[in-house]
Amino acid sequence: MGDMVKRDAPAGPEPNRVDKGRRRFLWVTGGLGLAWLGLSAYPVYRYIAPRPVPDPFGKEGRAAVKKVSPADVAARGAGANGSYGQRGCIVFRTPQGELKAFDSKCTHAGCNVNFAGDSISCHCHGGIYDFDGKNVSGPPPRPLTPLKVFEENGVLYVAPSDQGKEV
Amino acid sequence: MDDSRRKPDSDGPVGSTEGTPAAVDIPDSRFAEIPPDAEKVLPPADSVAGKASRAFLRRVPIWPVIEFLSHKKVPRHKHSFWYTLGSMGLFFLIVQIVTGVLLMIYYSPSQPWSSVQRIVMEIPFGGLIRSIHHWSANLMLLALFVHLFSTFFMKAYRPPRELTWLTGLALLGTTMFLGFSGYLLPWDDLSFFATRVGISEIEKTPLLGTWVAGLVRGGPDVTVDTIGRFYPLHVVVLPLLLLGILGIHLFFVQVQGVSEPDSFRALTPEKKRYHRFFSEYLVNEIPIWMALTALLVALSALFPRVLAPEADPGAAAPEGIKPEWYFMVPFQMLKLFPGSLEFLGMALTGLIPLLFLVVPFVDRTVPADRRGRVVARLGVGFLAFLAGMTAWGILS
Amino acid sequence: MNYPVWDIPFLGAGLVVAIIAIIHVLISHFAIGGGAFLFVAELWSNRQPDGERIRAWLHKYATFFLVYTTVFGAMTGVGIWFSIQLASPEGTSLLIHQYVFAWAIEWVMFLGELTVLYLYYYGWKTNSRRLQVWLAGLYFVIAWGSLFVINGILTFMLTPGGWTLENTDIVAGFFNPGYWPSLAIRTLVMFLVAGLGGLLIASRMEEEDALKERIVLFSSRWVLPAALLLPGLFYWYWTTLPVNTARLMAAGATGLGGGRLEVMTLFAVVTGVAGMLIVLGSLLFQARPKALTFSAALALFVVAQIGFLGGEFSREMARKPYVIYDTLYSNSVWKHKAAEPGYRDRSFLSLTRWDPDVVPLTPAHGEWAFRLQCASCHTRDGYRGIVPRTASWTALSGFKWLLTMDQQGVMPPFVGTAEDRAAISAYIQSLHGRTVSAAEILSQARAEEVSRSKSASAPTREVEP
Repeated sequence: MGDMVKRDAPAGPEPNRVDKGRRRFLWVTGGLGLAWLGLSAYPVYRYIAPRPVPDPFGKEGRAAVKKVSPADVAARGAGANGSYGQRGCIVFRTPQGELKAFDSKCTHAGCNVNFAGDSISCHCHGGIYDFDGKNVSGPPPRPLTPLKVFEENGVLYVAPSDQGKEV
Repeated sequence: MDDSRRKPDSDGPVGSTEGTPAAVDIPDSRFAEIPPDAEKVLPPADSVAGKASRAFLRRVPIWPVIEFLSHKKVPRHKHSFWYTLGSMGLFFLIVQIVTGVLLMIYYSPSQPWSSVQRIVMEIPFGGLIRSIHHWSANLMLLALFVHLFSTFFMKAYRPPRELTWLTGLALLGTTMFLGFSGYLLPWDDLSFFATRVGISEIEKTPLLGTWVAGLVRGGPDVTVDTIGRFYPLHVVVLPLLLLGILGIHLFFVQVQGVSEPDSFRALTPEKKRYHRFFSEYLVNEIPIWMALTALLVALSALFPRVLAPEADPGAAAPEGIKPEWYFMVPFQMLKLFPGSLEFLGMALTGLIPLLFLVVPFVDRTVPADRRGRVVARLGVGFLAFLAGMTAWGILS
Repeated sequence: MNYPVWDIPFLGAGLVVAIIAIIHVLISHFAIGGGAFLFVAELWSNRQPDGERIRAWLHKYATFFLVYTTVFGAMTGVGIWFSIQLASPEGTSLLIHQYVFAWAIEWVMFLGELTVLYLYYYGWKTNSRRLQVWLAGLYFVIAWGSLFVINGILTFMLTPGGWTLENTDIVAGFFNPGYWPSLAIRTLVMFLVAGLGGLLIASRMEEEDALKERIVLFSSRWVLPAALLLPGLFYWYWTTLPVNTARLMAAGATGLGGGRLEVMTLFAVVTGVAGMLIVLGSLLFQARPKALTFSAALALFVVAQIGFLGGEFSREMARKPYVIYDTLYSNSVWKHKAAEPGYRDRSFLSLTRWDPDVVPLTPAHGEWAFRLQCASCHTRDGYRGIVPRTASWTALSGFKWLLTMDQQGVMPPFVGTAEDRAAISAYIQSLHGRTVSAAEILSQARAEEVSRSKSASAPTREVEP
């Protein structure tokens, strides 16, 4: 726009002439200006950027399970979906009587898996896991993440599993 | 080029059926040609910019608009600085829109106070953005008041610019309502009581007062329903209204040109100096915007906007509660006329915008005649009155 | 610890120093950068056919330069001297004792640069070209020498480096970690300011004057070195900051500070934004140099002042709670003394140089203890006011809190007995309009302690870790 205007007969005396050297100079310094602009956009970027999810286990190394009470998993074969921190979990008692818990995020596409009495299944694409969390059928590529589970003072807690992949 | 392509308003298919055209052929002759004076100033036809600009102009024939705008010029004289005041208002408006959208990302009208607290205390630089939004609101209103009076004293309202003046007044009013509606949104002590006081003043209007106040509040008192209506007002309705009236206001300025004060008009043509708006004037106006940016950030660092404790409708109003400075004049006026004189106070307060509205119909001659000089002097007195009332309100 | 306290209502002593200093830094940076500008402009004019006209313009620049820097620079510079002595005699005393020769050298530099400047300016018409060029260059060298010196003292306060009170290694303290990045930053910023000054004077030229374009371009180029190098140099400076400071600044992005100095981050943002604006603004002027108006050039100059405000505030706050880092707290308590066992349990007023002679536990005791230990940083209800910051305090909670006030890393440890704490807490309550006597607070606290120790001796269910 500026070029157009300057070649059009201006109101004052001789028109401004932008020679090649100055044009290149302007491009370089324009780039510099934009770089500084980027620096100053940092506060806005930080404002908009998503916040990191806090570690659910925190300082104590454990998290209370919400929506599942010890009574819900007292009977063999009982289980329910709950949450810990900002994540989902399933807690259940195997037919053999063992209390187990897994992070409920299906390893396929992230839906929360469902405890179905005799198996763990994911309704989104039909994946199936066994009571050890191992992916036995359907699209899930990996087992569920196991969690240590215990009861204290009438509340269920989960903690990171000691043994890595398998409980 | 054969005739089948050159036929104007052809009903036939676009383009020729023989050979491969280098560019899409546009049969409508309105669009096909680039005007000759555009050709003179566009970049060379073989460059990327040249091709792109020509392709665009052939489809969107806005060259007359561009040509018109390129002639836009601003007079250069002793009082030229005041021409920047209007654009300062525009600048602050842009800041408000940007910071406002950012605040909307985290603000929740169903959890007003805690969402603002989260913005200020948890979100990185949330406090800075909120403070900028607050300061920019105040500076915008200040700039608009200065713009009002500088255009008044430069007599820019005279024919043919009456409508520019009137739309300007509408813009000021809309901005004040934006301020009022936004002020409540944090739902802290200050906002709540200031809004309650403000609306109860409206309620004092005879006949319609209670009904209007009820509509504004969404009930007999300021509640979550008030936020329910203030929020869409502040974020959608008033901004759209503002932008619409602003478009008209700016359109008038473009079409009519920048007003010239009498002293400038009286100069001989060779003495009249102008800056072209596109480049010369902008190159000087943008740094002033930059100084305003720096000022906003500095004010936000030095005087951050605090979040008072959450509003408690049952609590006693904080001591010395009063509205923001830009509402101080009507507030003080109504304080001056208590009890049975209230009606008189309202009438006088209502007179203020009325006086501004009639100015272009009272003082019309160019150059100013005796009546014009009287109006200017009355304006000085009026400015002193408004400034004095505002100061009195703030300090008391 | 101080002589009678310089108690300034609403602003506070520190802010008075800040206001004078912030005005001064713009002037002083211009004073040195402008010397380089004059030197280079002289050389440039010698190579131009219209050198005489350029120098006629340069004379205007030099006039503005002379008045602005020597008059206002001297006033504010001496103003800093006066105000820092009053605000912190202990800190100033330390700096003088350690760096007396550095100060002396700086004064020699001042004398030298003024002499050379007067020779340069008043000999404008009579001196030869060669002499003028030499004088301008000599001025810049001497003036930059004064930066070389003051930079050492200033950066020493924040990062004393290898210097300690015991080894008094003033060379290590002078050439401390922050010295070199700060020197580089200030030098480039000086050139930037000199260029902005050139734009200011050039904007007054007639638009039709063909020379205006060339001078505006010449002036705006002085922004370039800063534009290119400052981000990297600021990063270098950042790496030399004390660990606690860097941590606070990073945390300062959120508003969780409320006493943890998140304003330090905000002021750094002010500086960054101002820098960006100056870079962009000077670019604009390169696009249409002849159209430059005074308002626009002044606007950038104002942005530079705001940038200095942000930078200097940020730097000063980075040092809290110290005035000399790791050595002397802002309220003139010596760190090594406060760390001595038993020192902090002595009556505070007995440690002061000037005993206000008050009766213990009276309101006067509380007020004097506040003024001597707290007022160096906190006004009552003005800048960094104590009243808004203690709104939720009860007499007892305040009494207890004082023991932990240094835990967040922005305040010094409390020095004084329980009586001092009770007196100060009572005083603060009185600022909120609540009357409570210090003796009452003490007895309440003692009663609570007794009851707690009683319940501690009884058997509990909880096992101590």
